[in-house]
Amino acid sequence: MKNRYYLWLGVSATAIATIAAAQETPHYSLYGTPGLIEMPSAFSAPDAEIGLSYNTFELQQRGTLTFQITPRLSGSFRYTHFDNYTGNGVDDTYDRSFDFQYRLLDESDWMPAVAVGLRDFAGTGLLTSEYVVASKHLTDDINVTGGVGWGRLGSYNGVSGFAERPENDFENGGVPAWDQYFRGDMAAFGGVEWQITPQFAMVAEYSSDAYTRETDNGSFEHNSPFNFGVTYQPTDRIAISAYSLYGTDVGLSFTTTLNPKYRATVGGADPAPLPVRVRPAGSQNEVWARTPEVETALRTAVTQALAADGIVVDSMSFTDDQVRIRYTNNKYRAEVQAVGHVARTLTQAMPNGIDDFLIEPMRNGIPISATLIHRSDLEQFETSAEGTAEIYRRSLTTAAGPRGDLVDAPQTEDRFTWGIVPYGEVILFDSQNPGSFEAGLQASFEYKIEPNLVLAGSIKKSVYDNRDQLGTIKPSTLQPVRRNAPIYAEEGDGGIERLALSWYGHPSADLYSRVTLGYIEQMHGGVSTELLWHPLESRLALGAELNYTAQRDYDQGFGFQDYEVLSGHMSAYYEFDQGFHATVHAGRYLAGDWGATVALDREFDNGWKIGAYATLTDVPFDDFGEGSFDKGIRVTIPFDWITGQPSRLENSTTLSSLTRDGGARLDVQDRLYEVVRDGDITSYDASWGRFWR
Amino acid sequence: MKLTKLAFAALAALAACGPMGENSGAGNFVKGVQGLASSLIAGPAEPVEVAPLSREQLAATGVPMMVMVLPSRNATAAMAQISDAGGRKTWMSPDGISVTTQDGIIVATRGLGDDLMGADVDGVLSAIKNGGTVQRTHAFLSGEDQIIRPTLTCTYKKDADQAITILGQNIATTRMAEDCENAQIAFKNYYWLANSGEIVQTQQWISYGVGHLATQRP
Repeated sequence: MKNRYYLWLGVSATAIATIAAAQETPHYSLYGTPGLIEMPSAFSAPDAEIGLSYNTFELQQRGTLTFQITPRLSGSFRYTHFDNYTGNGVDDTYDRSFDFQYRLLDESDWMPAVAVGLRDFAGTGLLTSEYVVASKHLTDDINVTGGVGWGRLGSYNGVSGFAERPENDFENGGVPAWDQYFRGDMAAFGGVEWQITPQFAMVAEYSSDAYTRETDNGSFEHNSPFNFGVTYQPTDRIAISAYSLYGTDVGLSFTTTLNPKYRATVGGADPAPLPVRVRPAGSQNEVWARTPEVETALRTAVTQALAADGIVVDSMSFTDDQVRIRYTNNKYRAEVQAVGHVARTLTQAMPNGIDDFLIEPMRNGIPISATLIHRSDLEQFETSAEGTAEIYRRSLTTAAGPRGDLVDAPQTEDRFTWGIVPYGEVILFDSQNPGSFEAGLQASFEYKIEPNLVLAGSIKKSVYDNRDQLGTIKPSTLQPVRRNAPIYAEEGDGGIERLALSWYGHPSADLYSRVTLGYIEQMHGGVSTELLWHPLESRLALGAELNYTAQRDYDQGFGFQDYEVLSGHMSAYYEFDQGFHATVHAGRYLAGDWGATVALDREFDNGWKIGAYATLTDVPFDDFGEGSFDKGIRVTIPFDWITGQPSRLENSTTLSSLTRDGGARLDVQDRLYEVVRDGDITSYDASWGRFWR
Repeated sequence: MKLTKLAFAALAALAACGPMGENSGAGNFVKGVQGLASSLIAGPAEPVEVAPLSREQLAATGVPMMVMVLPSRNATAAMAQISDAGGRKTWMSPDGISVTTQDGIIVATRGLGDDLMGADVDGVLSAIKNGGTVQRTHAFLSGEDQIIRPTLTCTYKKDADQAITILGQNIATTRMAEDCENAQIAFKNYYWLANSGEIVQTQQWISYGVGHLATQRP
């Protein structure tokens, strides 16, 4: 093909990328973290890389997700199957574990990279170890690693360390074992890696893990501390490795990596937008015939044009030289992109005398900001190299004002809408069962009484499930506000999942309000009220929520059980630099317990979010049950990152502890902060690059 | 542990219905993946044929037209001029791709994915005609939604005299070569000038994701 094409033009086409050699991805170990085979190395994956690996050998199967949280810090979540937990061929079990590694020193010409790490620091302790490790490239293709380990990594040829390592009495698991770290016997480990070709690498290591417990109970034979492996990388993002382990066993691993920073479609595969219409020279001062009829015609034209672009106009108003428009964007993840589309559509439709556009996006029927853009700037900067920055500099985004003289646009959307969609739910990673599955159909409806007053409901009917959990509900002294989820699923199948009226308000520039009334969620119904203070330009938001709810009957009908509770939280949300976002909710939970939920997320400008949360309340760990307290990691992947097509949808996945009764919050839809923050300055700054998309 | 509301694509394709169903995660996911898959699968495979267009057809549209060839997508399109913003003309193809040119020099694209968001090309036309060295600034949108704005140094020289054919018409041209580079990027463009001095054909680099794009003025 190329030949034909270039023959046609008779010239060659060349372009060379010499983008500063992208940081190379280190190999992932049998633990699913950057490292040798069983031993860690001090190298880090490139910032934000996610490594997903499945590793298997005779004793264990490990599935690991590793995230390079910052350029220096990585965190891993691992789910391990132990075939022979207490002996050869007996008692298999599943276990969750978490790791952290921090790179203290960068590699230089003369100095190695140095890192410190904790493996399985808060689980049941089956894989627990700590280490300090150094790694250095001898050539571009050969690197060596040496380190000192404690715990499992101090068990082969160890020498006494700094202090006694106390026994691990993990009880319910899930709590960091602070008194163990870097104590007890310590031992040296090391290894070498050789990248023979871009596709093939070899690795050899000296392991300091003696597999003491497994050897003692007869489930493993440890003949040699030396492990060897070969890795094949068919592409940059896939690695397949085979290992010889401890002179007696073989292991296999499969690793794939992805990085939220890189989108397959780069800027996105959106079709070209309507261009700006430039007014003829001298026409900017034309006085237009502003009559109610002309205004209605303009309102209708803009409403219809934007409806075709997935944007529903709520209302518009006009003065001689300004147009003001309120709308809901149902299509673009970034509000900024919708602002850009609205602005360009206005240049096409507005009389030449109108110079200023005041553009006010809405969510859930309330305006979330107002951006004033000068039409002449749009005309000047649509395709210049500085165009995006210039529009940002020359426009002004503030809190939306009161409704004032806005006049309703013709309706392009039905007030009543409905749908039937399939759903699927996977319950993963508990200690008895790696995964159970339910699928069915969900019917929903929504009736917009006013844009900000909506009655919505849904019914769920299971078609298939393979869960057998009724027998696995462990007793507790707490009110079963959450742990009876399997009973709800069993007895309430086909019942009302949700039926609630919600009302949103914007009482003043910095204040937002919500009231939700009805069958708010699957297990609880009543009234939920919320107030949020969030100045547009502030990195901080503060919220207060108060709920009075009763627990619903298991059959998911209209009835309630005899349990009523007042719950609620004071919340703080803060945007740090580099996309780190912190949330604290402190208050009273559904079981009447008092405590706080703390969450930290890394949010990428393209909509990815990866974070972790933990809830600690005054419920004793023993009463809470397995895991000791509620904690988890969560990942949000925007659809437009996957497909390149514009979409507001995203897929959020939470990997959490078993659902227990302590630290349970009411599951209200569309809490205020996530509704209004799309219009705040931080969001606009992050996604302003999409203005001219 | 719980993976909530995982989308099941196959089921969704069969079962999503109603206005809310069509806009649901499952429904959109299917559409998106189908689109992505077809765009990935439909890589360059077949030889690019020059558009089966005639001057008469283009003239009959009644608006200024341009022919665009995108070898990396195996696409040829007739594009109609839909706007002229102070000399920057935007050309739109029927399938939602737009190219904006200034004096025949591409300053922006939309709808191609790794688009050229904007460019400053002051002095380029004069350098194409007379030779010399000029700085160009290009703007791209990254996968993290940030604008990246490299400045390139470009040198121009006459490459060859060449007789070319555009839509059946033979034109004597001078082919000019443009070499642009900075520390990260280097690319080569060509411009064919008719005796009138007008640019009648070009081959210009857009981005890594798009590669080169060729244009012809009938």
